[in-house]
Amino acid sequence: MYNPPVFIGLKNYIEVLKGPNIWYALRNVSFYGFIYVFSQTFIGCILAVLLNQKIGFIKTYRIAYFIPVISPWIGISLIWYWLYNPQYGALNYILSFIGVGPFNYTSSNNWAEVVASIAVVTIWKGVGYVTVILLAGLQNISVELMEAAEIDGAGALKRFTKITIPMLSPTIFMVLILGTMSAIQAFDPFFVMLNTSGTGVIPDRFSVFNTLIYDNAFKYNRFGMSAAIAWVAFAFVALLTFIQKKMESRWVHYE
Amino acid sequence: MNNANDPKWGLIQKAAVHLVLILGALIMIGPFVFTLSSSLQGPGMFQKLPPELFKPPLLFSNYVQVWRDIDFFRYTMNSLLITCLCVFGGAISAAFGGFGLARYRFKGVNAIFFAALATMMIPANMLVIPQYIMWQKVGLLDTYVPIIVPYFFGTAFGLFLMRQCFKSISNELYEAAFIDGCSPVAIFAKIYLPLGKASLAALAVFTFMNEWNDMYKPLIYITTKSKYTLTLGLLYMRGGEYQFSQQLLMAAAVIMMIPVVIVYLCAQKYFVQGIVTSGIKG
Repeated sequence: MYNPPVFIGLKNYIEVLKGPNIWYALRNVSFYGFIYVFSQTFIGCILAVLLNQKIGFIKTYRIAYFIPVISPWIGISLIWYWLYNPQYGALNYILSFIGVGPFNYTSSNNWAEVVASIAVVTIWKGVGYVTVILLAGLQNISVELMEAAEIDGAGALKRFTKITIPMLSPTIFMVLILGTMSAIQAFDPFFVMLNTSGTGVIPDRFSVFNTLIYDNAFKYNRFGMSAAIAWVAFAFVALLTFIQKKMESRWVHYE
Repeated sequence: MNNANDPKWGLIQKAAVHLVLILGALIMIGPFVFTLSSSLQGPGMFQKLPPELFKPPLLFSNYVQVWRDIDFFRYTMNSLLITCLCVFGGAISAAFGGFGLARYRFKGVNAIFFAALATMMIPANMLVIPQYIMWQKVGLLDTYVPIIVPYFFGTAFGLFLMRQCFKSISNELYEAAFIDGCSPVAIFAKIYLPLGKASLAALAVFTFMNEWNDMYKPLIYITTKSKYTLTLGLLYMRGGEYQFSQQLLMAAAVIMMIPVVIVYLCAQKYFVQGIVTSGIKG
């Protein structure tokens, strides 16, 4: 900052809320979070249940599912940039066999397509992490409980809906909260998937809270604006967490 | 299911589960196979459909070129330096702090612990600007200090992990050693540290992964090219003045991924343990 800060009241907030960017960010983050959090938890649950079947090779599978989790976003973006290439990308090629597509993915002009494409990469990267958490939750469910239910004549489906899901619900709840928080704070996925020229310019209509914070502070030197956006984002996190906490008692079962 | 005990049915079920899991594993690993393959190919392989994998001749010269032509050696060393110092700082501060929070009763000990925990709830992006201004005021921008030094003051996750671990060690052990004339420092070094080895390893592995892959902090704090980390090096290799061809970028990405994959494979057990403790009990 080249000038000493001056108190200007709520001017930054008014300007933030007036401009279109914060609303783009709100829209993108909501859509991104919705796809990413629910799909990731759903796929993670399925994988965890499958891995919990005492089938062997669990270690091998865990390595395979965990490699994306530990990989850096920048490396991942390089390969997905190519997979997502509308003309030469492998994804359109594979999808053409089942008669879907072609899509433009991250080079599309349609914000929903761009955001959804980024969400897909995030799910791919994060699902192994969620699976490990959920698997640990599954392994905490007592075997006796399951056996007792089986002796009492409960079928596999009934055992799953009446025992597994309620007993796992605290873990699922935590995974949902963690996912929501990371979705609202997303920076790396958007920055590396859209910033393919390395110049750091991301079109405003594809921005999220954190890219706006970064741009305002470190590109345009508007620290005040940037901090105001951070507070709006924080209010959004707080609101969502509050709602999720309120909903908790309806479906989360604690022993 | 009544036929669950039928061995034939069990076999079919097992096969189906494996089939789904293998398909999933292919989706997870496939992109990395592409990366590895394309890092060994000549230019133009990205315009080929269907994609060709590991088509001879394999050009290991791509790796040599990345290593030589851009300052990749320097970036790797920078990343290693930062990561190792962060791991070290995070481990010692968590071990000392966790020991203090777990073993000593004094006024406000719980308040300190919950204050540290509360910082985990604040989104990191809220803190970026004040932290940046702070480091700017003390004139330490464009150094590694803003990245490394906070680790030496303890992270919420590290303190939490080590406190929980040390709390689970029975008090009698401490008292017995104390009566035998052990000083608190000796008790810490000879009893608590060895018993907390697994948690410390989990913490170290996590810190390593986070810092090695971190992009945000280097991006805002480091501006001089010779101080770039691997992430920044790759980020700027993609565009800007160089315009590197794809196969070289892929080779650079492979170089960058090798250390994390090795650390993960060696320390898998601790990794899972770390996730489970931070996830389930947190």
